[in-house]
Amino acid sequence: MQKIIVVGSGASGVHFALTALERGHHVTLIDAGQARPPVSNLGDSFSDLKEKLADPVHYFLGETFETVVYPGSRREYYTKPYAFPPSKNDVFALPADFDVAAQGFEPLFSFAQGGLAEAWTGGVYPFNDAELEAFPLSYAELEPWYSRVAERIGICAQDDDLARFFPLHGNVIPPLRLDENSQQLVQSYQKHRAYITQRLKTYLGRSRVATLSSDKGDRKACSYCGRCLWGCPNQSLYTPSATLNACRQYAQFEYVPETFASHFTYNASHQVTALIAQTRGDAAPRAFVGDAYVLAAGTLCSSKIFMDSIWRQTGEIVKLTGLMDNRQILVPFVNLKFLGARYNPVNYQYHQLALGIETPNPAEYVHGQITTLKTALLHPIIYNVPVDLAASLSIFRNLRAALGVVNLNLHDWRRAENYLTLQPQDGGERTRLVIQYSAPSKEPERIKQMVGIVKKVLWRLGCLVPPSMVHVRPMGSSVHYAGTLPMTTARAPLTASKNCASHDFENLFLVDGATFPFLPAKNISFTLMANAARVAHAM
Amino acid sequence: MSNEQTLSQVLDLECNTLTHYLIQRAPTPYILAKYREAHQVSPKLARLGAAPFDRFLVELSRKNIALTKLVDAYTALFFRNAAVRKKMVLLLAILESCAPTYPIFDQPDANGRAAFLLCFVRQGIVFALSLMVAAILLLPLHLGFELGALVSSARTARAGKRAPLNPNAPRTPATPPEMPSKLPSLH
Repeated sequence: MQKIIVVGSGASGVHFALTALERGHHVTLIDAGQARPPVSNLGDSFSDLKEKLADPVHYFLGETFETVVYPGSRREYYTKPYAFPPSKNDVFALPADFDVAAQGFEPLFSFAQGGLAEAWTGGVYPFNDAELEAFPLSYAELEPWYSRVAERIGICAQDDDLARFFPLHGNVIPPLRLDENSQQLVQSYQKHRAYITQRLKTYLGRSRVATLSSDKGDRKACSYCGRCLWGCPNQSLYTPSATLNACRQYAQFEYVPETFASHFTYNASHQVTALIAQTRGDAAPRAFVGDAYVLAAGTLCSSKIFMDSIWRQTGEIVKLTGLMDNRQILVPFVNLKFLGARYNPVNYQYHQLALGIETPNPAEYVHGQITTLKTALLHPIIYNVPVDLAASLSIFRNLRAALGVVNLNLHDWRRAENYLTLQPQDGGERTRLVIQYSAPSKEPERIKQMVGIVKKVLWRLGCLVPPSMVHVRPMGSSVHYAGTLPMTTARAPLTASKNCASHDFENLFLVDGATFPFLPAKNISFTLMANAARVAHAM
Repeated sequence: MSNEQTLSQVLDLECNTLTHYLIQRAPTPYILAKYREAHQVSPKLARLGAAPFDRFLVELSRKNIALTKLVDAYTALFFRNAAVRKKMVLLLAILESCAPTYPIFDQPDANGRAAFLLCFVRQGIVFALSLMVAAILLLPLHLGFELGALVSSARTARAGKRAPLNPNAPRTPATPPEMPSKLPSLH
């Protein structure tokens, strides 16, 4: 059995680690993160928090009211420059000396325990064979791992029109109760199905979510308390820290928190000899030695560690091309049947429906998640209504139950003009991560075409898209980064094997999105987990 | 009375007027305290209202809710990043985050689509009328303030060029008056 050093406690890292532990390997997991504060007021709903907390404004708006979104703000709904709730501040906090320069890209990083998926919305969609064509593996090879991960984390799914895009794997559980707005959309879809599917080539169904509809071990079923964004009090919504806790039950698991991996060292035969990392508060870094080394710190950070290792040893600055991310477009809508209706706060906050737009090339399928507005901070929506604020508030209160948004995702592919590289700083003491990204030249046309289709679909479903409200999010917003050290069948520099073994360093593995050679429009997280588990099993 | 006490009283008056305007009820002591606290701790609010017209609008909106309505209507179209608008958005954020005011954001005052449409039309008409009155009253004042700021800025720049240089005097950069992000349209 091997001694394996893993970097990163995100979705990829923890599922790799757990599978490796199940196989009897010894795993040391180096994690920049620290344990998060526990969720408080466990039995309370979103509305209860406003009644029962001693200082609810502090909870929702932050110590310096930093989550208030003012007119003129460019922020997306994540953290700076986005705007996330204060309870998730630690997910996105960066180390003081972390240096990045990005062009055409607004990256998000997480150095928290559990990584970026500690703040995700739970969408889990397997890639199909068309989407895996660029990969050196098929759906049949991944399916057992999709099923294995589903069994670990709990995934709600049902066999519906969307199964043509996401195969139904094993170990799924019945879906959550639909909110009223989503229910009505489904009914409308059934009524207009023939037109929407045949003329608009669009299909609607339940989104697949990593949220429990029934109890599973220590994690409870969703209680529809509406606190998803602020931190699920029941652990119904899966986050990687749950799998990290499962790893900690193994005697041969060593967890090393608050420790930042900077690079690895290697010998003349390109065998990695140690991982170098420094624990917060320590005077100097230390070397972690194993039989195999696994980078699971996310595409951007794993790539930086990879590039830094080569730079420190040889002085060479490597350029990793092919960076990918999904473009996201937000299409808000008003469900006309819910105008003047009363809003029900007792609901699951995140998306419950999805739509898929069929394209001539199935790999270029367009994915959309439909979120109806339930619990949320409302002032950023209210001030966008183009009347005075008192009138906006009045109109909004009567519209609230009717509001929703379709989050459309477009696929991406590896292109040479999109890359990561390093820039030495402070006379060579450290490096800056440089990110360069340019959108494909035909993207504006594609966005226009797809948004046009979604508007027609929504109209058929009885929904109106307010004029000038469609928002194209900056590249980097989807956080589905991939492609910089792709899996290939042929051995080549700066690539990896089918089992994610680096072709440059014999005992180095990369199990996050860095090795994905293509990025379909779907959320990447489920495939990251399944692939990481697959790789661990093969070791 | 100290400056701090005066500022607290001013903020309380502001919060009182704006809360009555937005939700037709008085703020609780908790809401008043949070509104004051936000102005003390939020870096964004510390920079607000430096420009003369911005300050004027904030002072005007404190006087009574009829004037607040005019200011709100005017800034909705002509001055969307105004300090008074940001203060109202802050207040909305506070009101939606705590009891007893958060349910106001959740409950429709219309029941059903027909009632919603009536509400929508009524609000639209009231906004249009308020905007008309506000534009007649405030647009000339806004332009006047902007011209005044430009003239003042030009004078400062000229004075800076003419004054003999004292090599021993500390050099501080001239601070131009804050310009609003959007000037009113003249058409």
